[in-house]
Amino acid sequence: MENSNKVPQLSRNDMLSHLPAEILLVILSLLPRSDAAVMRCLSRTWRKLYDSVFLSFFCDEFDRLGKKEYMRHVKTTLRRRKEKGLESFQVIWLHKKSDAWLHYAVHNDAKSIHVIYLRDAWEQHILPDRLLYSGSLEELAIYSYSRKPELAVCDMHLRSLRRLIILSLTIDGDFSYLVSRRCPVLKELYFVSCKLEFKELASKSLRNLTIERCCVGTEYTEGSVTINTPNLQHLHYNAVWPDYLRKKQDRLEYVYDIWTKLDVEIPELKTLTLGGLWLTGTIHAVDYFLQKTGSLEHLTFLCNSRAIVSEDISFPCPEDLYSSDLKIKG
Amino acid sequence: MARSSTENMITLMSSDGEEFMVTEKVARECTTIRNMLEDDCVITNIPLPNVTSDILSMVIEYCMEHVAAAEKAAAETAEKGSSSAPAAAKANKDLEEWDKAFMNVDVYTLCDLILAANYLNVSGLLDLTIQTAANLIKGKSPEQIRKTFHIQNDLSLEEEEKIRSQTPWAFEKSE
Repeated sequence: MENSNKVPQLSRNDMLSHLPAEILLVILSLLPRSDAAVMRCLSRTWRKLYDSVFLSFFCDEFDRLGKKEYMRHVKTTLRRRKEKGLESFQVIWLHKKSDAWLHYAVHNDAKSIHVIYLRDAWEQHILPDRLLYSGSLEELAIYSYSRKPELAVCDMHLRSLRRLIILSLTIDGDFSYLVSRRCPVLKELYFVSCKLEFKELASKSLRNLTIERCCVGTEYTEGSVTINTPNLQHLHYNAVWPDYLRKKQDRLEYVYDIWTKLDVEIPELKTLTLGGLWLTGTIHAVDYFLQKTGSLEHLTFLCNSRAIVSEDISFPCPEDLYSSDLKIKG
Repeated sequence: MARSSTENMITLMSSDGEEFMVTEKVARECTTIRNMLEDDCVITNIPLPNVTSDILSMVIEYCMEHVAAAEKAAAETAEKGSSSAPAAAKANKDLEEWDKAFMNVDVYTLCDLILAANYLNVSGLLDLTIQTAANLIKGKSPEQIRKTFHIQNDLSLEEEEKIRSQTPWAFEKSE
């Protein structure tokens, strides 16, 4: 090495961190998300590198800077950025001009995009077209704190989308149709505090479905809500009372008649987590789910609100489990 | 190293002055050298001031193995008129095994190989070495990764604490 000054003088101590940045970025992109996040705390070099492709403009910045400064901060950061490609992009949507930020992320082939819509920010409930046709997007999360939480999507095609997370939005039939038909490799779907107003959700690719504190169906929904997921392996269903049911008597009837309101197709289910009204209303509603599954391995009850037992119960299922085998002490 | 006298031989010279005679076909596995040869076809002696002799010999070993595998596959296809799928699958598996054994090196050599593959533009070797580096990282705690690659932690305790609190889910498995 000593006879050429062109040889990169790498420190024998830490050669990895001294490799060219474009190579380190490829290494980061090959890592699962949690391993990449671990790399961030190794040293300053790695923190800087991580922050250059995992762009986050979330609540920390917004609270610290205020709306006006926040917008300037995002704009200048994106303008100054030289790296190509993005692993993840997290931003607060403020008004129509914020679409340009999402365009930037899609243009840089972002694999993961998280958008927060603030309470008074949602003027038009439309996600930019370019986002809805991104071929590289693998994860999309939409968090809404808007007063008008409707999501209007006419069409979309997210051919690489594997994980979709939606918080506090109303999901209508059109959107569930698009999720069912236009996300061919969707594996994980999370609805948190949403109003699910669709009649059918159907996906062959789906493996994980989480419905957490969502209101399913409306007062005007006729017939049952169908969840048709032949390959689903994990279902988490922490249910709340539909808000149109105010009287205790109506609620009890709702739970007793659940099989006429809900039609789930989950033959491959391995783990089932149930919580909320199934347990507080009547244990017979749990029976409904157990009858739908043939190969269940693990059953968990969440008893977090209005609990009939003090802690979550979780146990592996015996081979032929019937609801009569379950014992829950109050 | 020459198989036939009609094949063009190229001399590659490492940064420490050692000379390696290779066939043009093997040299062409390095896109950087291929471009040089296409620009100037009479060139026979190429100095590589960025690559030491021990690393260069490994790169050549990799290129020769992959050229030989490709030639063997082509010869079999020509002989039988069409390639048989099981034989091709076995050859692929053998080459993968060879790659795996070839990657049984310490992290310093690995990093040197990444640099050389990047400089010489050997895409197969670059993919292989980078994937190997990523595999060495997967599933490890920050302390284990620092130890593996001898990374100095120059973050203050507060800074590291802040990073951990921003993505707590990333640190659950290792703690």
